[in-house]
Amino acid sequence: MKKRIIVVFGGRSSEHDISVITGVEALNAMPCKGYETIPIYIRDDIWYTGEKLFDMRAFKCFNPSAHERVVIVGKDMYKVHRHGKLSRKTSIDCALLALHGGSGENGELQGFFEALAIPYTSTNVRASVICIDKGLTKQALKGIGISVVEGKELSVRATSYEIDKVEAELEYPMIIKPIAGGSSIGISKARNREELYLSLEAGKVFGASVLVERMLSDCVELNIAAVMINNEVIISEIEKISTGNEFLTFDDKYMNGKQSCKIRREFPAKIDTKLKKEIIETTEIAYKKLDLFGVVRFDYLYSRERLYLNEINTIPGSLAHYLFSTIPHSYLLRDIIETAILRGSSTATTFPSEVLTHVDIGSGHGAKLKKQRT
Amino acid sequence: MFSCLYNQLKNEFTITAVDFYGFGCTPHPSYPLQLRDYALSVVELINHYRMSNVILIGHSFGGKVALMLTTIHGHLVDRLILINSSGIRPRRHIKYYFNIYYYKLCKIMHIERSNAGSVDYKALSGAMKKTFVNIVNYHLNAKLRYITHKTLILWSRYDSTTPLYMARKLKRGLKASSLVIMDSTSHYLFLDRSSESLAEIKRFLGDVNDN
Repeated sequence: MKKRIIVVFGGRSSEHDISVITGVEALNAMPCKGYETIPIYIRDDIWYTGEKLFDMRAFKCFNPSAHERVVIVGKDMYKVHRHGKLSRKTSIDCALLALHGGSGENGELQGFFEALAIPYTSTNVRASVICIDKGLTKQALKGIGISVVEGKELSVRATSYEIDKVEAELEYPMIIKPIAGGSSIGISKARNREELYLSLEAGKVFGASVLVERMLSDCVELNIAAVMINNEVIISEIEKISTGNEFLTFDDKYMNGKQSCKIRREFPAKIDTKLKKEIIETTEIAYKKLDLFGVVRFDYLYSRERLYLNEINTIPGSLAHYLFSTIPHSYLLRDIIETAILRGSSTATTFPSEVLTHVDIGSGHGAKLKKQRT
Repeated sequence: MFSCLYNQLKNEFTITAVDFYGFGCTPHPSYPLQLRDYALSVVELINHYRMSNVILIGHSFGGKVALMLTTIHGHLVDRLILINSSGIRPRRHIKYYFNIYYYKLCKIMHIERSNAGSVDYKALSGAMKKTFVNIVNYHLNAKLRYITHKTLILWSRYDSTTPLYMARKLKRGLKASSLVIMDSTSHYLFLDRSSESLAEIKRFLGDVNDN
């Protein structure tokens, strides 16, 4: 019996396009023995499926009427016909989530699949919420004793008094990031107060508040991924990224244009064993303490002999398969899916009690127990 | 040409690419060949490497050979995948028959017509010319009903080399077959629509058992 795996990608997010790449990559790399892969592409809150979604060309000029619309009810997938009629297509054994940022990484879909008791390959709702919110991540990491870059959450409509306070704690230049976002979209630098105002104005697009961080001088970015396979945390190789620009912009990362010459990737990174050991240990602690699951990428910053954990991506771009140089992409996907199915869905159990048999709503006691007659 | 298929399936299957006589690097013998000889050469290969659970993937002429092989040595084969395959008798235009009989008439009357024949035919030389004639005029229409293997037929809708009616005829002839048609004009479907056709092939091979 083949296991039916849905690969969910797209979604309402600023990183929609990156998610399409991750999704299509995963679709084509999925092992075929014992699995049936079904794509689900979310665009404008409508779910699409069909063989055409295996091809990148379908997304370059997306035509909604050329694809089947589906909904998921219970553990089954239904095709939506015209006039709102449904017909059952297939059952679902596991969902591979390939959405970045926004509605996919922040716990929304995780909650959806948990409610339907469909196993999924991502961190649970609680940890997803913590990791998508950069302010919360900072506090959580501080709580388990991992060093982070000093930073403050700041409302985009901050009064000058609040900005004064931030200025007193942090020094210019600062980095302003949207609270929930990835792929370096919306990150800017402020050298003085004028630029800070400008960044706050720009930050309004992404949410109600931004994260203001002290900027580290001459830092390098170190990326590492970890994945849970059969209750064992497997750590990938380390990738080192250094740019002429002080931080990685979206253009640097994805637009292989003129500016990409500044960015230098080194993989596997040539760093001394002590630092490597520190990174691996920190990663393991964070992965276990935060109760993460699936492929998670940790972005570290290393500056002046100090290591900071900067960001946790619970669904990294391309599912970080390029970091696991020893495991082929298809095997990695297979292992993640098998582990997810093994984990099952929601762990909450129902508690059988006899409360309902003793309740009498009409008696004016409310939800409290009726007195038992002896 | 087939590297995209190879790269995607190499992790899970052992793949052998066959280079036929007169194609690629394998030389053509000095005498003309029949379709049967091509099929038997693949059988030799299967026996030499002691392959089991053989899945034949054939495109165009390769599909014809795969069909021939399955009719004569069906026990060796587990599944068939045919992509824009030949093997069905093509429907010819009246012009074709006119050309043929005109040529034959000329032959009887001993008039030499050097520029006769298709482009493909003229590109060949020596024994291969005869082989080409043997193969092009051999059709498997009547043999299809002896094949009971699970078959996937992939076709491009607007291909002129192997038109769509061939796919429908194959589907009707092969008992355990499924037909997938894609909107493409290319004869090389797996290059034009590589991801989609791969997805179909993967789905078809999903429940292959390993023993």
